[in-house]
Amino acid sequence: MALRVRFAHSLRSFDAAADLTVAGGETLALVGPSGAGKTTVLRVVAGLLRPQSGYVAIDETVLLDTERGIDTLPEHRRVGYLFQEYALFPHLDVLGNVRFGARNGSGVAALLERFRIGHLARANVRELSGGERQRVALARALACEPAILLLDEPLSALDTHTRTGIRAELRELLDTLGLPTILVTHDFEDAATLASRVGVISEGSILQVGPPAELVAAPTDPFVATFTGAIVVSGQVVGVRDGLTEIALDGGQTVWSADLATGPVNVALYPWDVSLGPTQEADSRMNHLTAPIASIAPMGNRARVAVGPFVAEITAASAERLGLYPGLVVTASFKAGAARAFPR
Amino acid sequence: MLVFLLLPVVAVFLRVPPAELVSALGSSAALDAIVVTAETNLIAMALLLAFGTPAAYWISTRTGGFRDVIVTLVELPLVLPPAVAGIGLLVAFGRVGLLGETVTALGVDIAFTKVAVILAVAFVASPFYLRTAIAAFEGVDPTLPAAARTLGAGPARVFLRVMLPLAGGGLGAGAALAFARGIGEFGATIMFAGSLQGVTQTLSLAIYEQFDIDFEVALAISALLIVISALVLLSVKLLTRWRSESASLTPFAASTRQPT
Repeated sequence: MALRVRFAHSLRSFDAAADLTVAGGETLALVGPSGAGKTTVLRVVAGLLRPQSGYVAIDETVLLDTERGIDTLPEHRRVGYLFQEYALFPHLDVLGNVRFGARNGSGVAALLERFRIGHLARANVRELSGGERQRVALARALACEPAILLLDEPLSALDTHTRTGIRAELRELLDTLGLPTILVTHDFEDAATLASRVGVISEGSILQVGPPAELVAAPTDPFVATFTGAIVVSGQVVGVRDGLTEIALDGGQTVWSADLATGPVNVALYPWDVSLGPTQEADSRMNHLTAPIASIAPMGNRARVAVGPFVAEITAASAERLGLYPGLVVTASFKAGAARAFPR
Repeated sequence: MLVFLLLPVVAVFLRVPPAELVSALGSSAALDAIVVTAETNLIAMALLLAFGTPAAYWISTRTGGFRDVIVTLVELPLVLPPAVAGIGLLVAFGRVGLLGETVTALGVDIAFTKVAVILAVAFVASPFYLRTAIAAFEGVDPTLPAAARTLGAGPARVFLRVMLPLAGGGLGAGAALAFARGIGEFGATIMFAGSLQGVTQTLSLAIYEQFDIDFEVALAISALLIVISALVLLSVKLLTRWRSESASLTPFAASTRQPT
């Protein structure tokens, strides 16, 4: 089974477009800030939004082809859609919700058991916890025996402390179902955990699609780099020496990158690749940047320290050991391989 | 201000002892008026619910300028003087009216019959129902009908299984308001249907006529209408409260239970 979607549609503030293929058993995550047009993709696939031009097909079954005038109604598309906040029917109990679109009434009881909501069958859906509501919504969508799955922010309505467990559970479910799945989230970590491929969306366009590791290792766009957690600084390539590219940053500093590049570039650096120390280590493959600390943000057992244009993420213990405080002059070090350079 | 608003209501009940009010309701004029009012209003409400509900749903799904024009047309009877409504109905459906010939050819004569009362009541009461019903349908979270569509429900099933139950409270409140307006209908009815006891004389018309004949009967009918109005108002309040509780599903509802 495979899902194919291609469309272009003008929204109020930008034009949304996508061209995606999702194979059976594959989960594609679309990540991007809110209002980037992620949900638009799902609505087009589900038939809730008719794009100005577009094509949607599951295997050989064409659901939408604006050129040939094909537009299958949403109720006939066999799309399992998990809405943001789950959109459970408040006037029906858990059983009523799951049974609403069930193709096979006898399978409902098994679904309730599978999602561990059998004991809640007669419960009011407004009294469920976030995790329970998510399971009811999943059971309801699967009762229709969908051919593909669309998940809109499946984890955003959950408390932070239940989220990790439910994320692992969802990952397991997606693996078992083996359906082509598109998942929408604003959280890169959720995307990287749940999906084999991630597409980064901004203002309606998909900037880069690839396995999460590839987006981190080789971002082609500053937005993608920023979204995966990197700090992006622009600069100009000065020259190449010993296989390393010398880049003059717009802020005046110089960094070395292992990537080959010329002309104006963006340099992406992940905070966890940066270490801090009072002195410079003698290593030519290392970048050293000495500057006063601009700010220190503690994050649990780690701390984010802003030095010059970059940010270093170090353990709270080493921050303690170094006796850091804003204004203290320190040296931030990172490997040339950690400074990813790509053309602007 | 409160005293000013309450005084006329209280005065109706204090003028004569309650026992006399009840016995005055037993007069033939009052009994006939009760029957005519009940009959015509129930039929008018049934028609309003049957045709008004799908119409309100349809309007609620429209957007933009077209919707605004339709809503304005729907609200017109609300601001129209009742006498104008009566004249309008007369020249539309009366013997010499716009549709008069068609209607006469069918062998019926509408003006000054119960049908005229029903039409007059439906005409003046409809905006009360339609406005509330449109708002009730628009108040339903639009992702709920969308979710129902993806679950395989066609438009008719979405309407019956999702929209009607979720808008139910609002529809009930609108129906109660329309009913109250219909019971009190006077101007359009007297112009279009006249005031024939036992045929077209409703409670409001009977008050006007009994005012000169038997003031006690007029008082008794007034007291009855006050009681009905109060009950309608109370039911609207209850229905509106029920609606606000049922129509919205807030995320993070007051529950801290953890998944088991």
